[in-house]
This record gives sequence, C-alpha cells and structure tokens, in this order.
Amino acid sequence: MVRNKKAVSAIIGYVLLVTMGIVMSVIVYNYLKTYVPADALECPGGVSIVLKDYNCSTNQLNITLKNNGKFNLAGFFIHASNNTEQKIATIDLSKNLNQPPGEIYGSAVVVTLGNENFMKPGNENGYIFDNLPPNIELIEFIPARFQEENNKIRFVSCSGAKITEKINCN
Amino acid sequence: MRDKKGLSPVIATVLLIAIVIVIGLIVFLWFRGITEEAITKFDTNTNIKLVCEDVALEAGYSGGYVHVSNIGNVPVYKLKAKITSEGSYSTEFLGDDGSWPETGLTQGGTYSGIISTPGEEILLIPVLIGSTATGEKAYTCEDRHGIYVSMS
Repeated sequence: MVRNKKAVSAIIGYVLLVTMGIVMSVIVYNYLKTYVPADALECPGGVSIVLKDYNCSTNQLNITLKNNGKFNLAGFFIHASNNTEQKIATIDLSKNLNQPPGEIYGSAVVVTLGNENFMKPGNENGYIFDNLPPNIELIEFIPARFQEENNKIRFVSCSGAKITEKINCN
Repeated sequence: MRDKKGLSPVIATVLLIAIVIVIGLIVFLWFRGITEEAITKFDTNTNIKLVCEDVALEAGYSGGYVHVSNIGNVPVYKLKAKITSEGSYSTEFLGDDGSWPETGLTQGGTYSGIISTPGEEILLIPVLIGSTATGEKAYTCEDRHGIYVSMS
C-alpha cells in the first residue's frame, strides 16, 4: 500500500511540475516577446524633395516641387511660420490646398488618393494654397511615401529629408 | 518532553502554511503585474517602451509660446512639460486649456500654445497610447525620450 501511494504521488508531482513549467514559460514568453524591437518606420536614404519655385499673390501661394531623389513619393507635409522669432513652422497649410491638383490625406498633401507613390524621380508638381495667414516667412516640407511594412501599406513621413525655405509672402 | 514535541509540529505546520500563502501571494501579484503592465503599440505588438525611442519631435519657444511639430511616424497622445526654474520644477500637460488637438499630434501634426509658468527650460516628454489586455492605456515615456527647449 505504501509503495503504491508513493508511486502515484511521484507521477502527480512530475505532471504538476511540467504543467507549471509550461504555464510559466508561456506567460514569460508572451511578456518578453513585446520587448523584441521591430524595425522603425523609416524612408530610404535617397528620398529628396526641392522647392523649385514659388509665387505669392493676394493670400495665395503657388509652389512647384520637384522630386530630386531616387525614390517615388506620395506627397508631403507642408507647414509655415509667420513669425521671424519662431524657428518651428507650425501652421499646417494642407487645409488651405486648392484642389486639384493634389488631394489631402490626413494632414499631408498627396498627388492622388490611393496607396501609390505617384511623384516619380524628376517629376515636378505644382500646387496652389489659398486663404493664407499674413506674412508667411518660413515654409517647411517633409516628403512622405507609402511603404509596405509587415505586409501592410503604411504612410511614412520622411523626416530625414525635411527642407525649410525662407520665403517672402506679405 | 512529549508535550513539547506535540506543540512543535502544529507550529511548524502553521508556519509552513503561512509561508506558502505569503509566497503564493507574492508570486501571484508579480505575475499579475507582468501581464497587466505590458502596453503594446502597432500591429507588431511592440512594447510601448521601445516605441518611445522612435518618437521624432521638433520644438521651439518664442514669446511665451511653445511650438511643437511631429516629424516622425509615431502619434503622440499628449505632451508632458517639465518646466525647470532655479532650484525647482513644475509639471503640466500642453494644451490643458483645450487647445491641444483632439487626436493628439499625428504624423505631420503641429501645436502652438502658451506656457504661463515662467522658467529656464522645458522638457517635453511624449505620452503615447497603447493597448493592454484591458483596453487602451496612456504611457508616459521616460525623461530621456523628451526634448529640451530653452525658454531664454
């Protein structure tokens, strides 16, 4: 009798031990896997945009942007500043876009809606912005493009290719 | 001797049970803490502490106003401002007066707002929204993820 009892107890002990081990490893695995770093959303290094020319007239701004980089672009974020002391442009001009040409996607201006990068290298695109705030002195562009990340199309801001231009729009 | 021997196993048993209960409680609380504290973000279920590293903000200060631009790809739910003055600091959230964008600072989002507290330097610390088992939760990044803005 004593022998039988000891044998059963040992099996239960092993089963409990293995079960507890599995449960603990599952919990620890699920927790630790969140700490595995994922690749940050970034544009490729060859992204570049340039303000080819601009023209201000009666609260209206006409700009021509050229994609002088190596990759297709979807559009850009455009911010302005009308304060000489202010180094960060915070006036979002995408709301002032006179469409078409261009469409608004979130707070960005894109060539056409749809998850495509229509601004090809060498392309020049013109846009018109109406009802501008007075005395714009600084304008900032951040190119943006659609990229596939983890089998999903994501809209990526290319902060490394940001350009800032001083303009005179009185 | 017999009486003493009779008492000892009872005390031992009580102690044993008490120790097991206390250890069990500690382990339970530890595990519960582990599972609840994991706040993740994006489809990749990346821990929000790692996402804080990817926040890209630009900020400046002029004429009593702080200007912030989100040039990166991580949406910022709120910004905690730690305003340092000589020998002390005060903390406030930007846009507490209702001027903060309802959706936070998304990609390309900007904010300009007044800072009424005088000081020498502002540390802007991003607050992000992530997912937990119980729903969405805000997480304030560590100070090292913040950006310093001079108020002078």
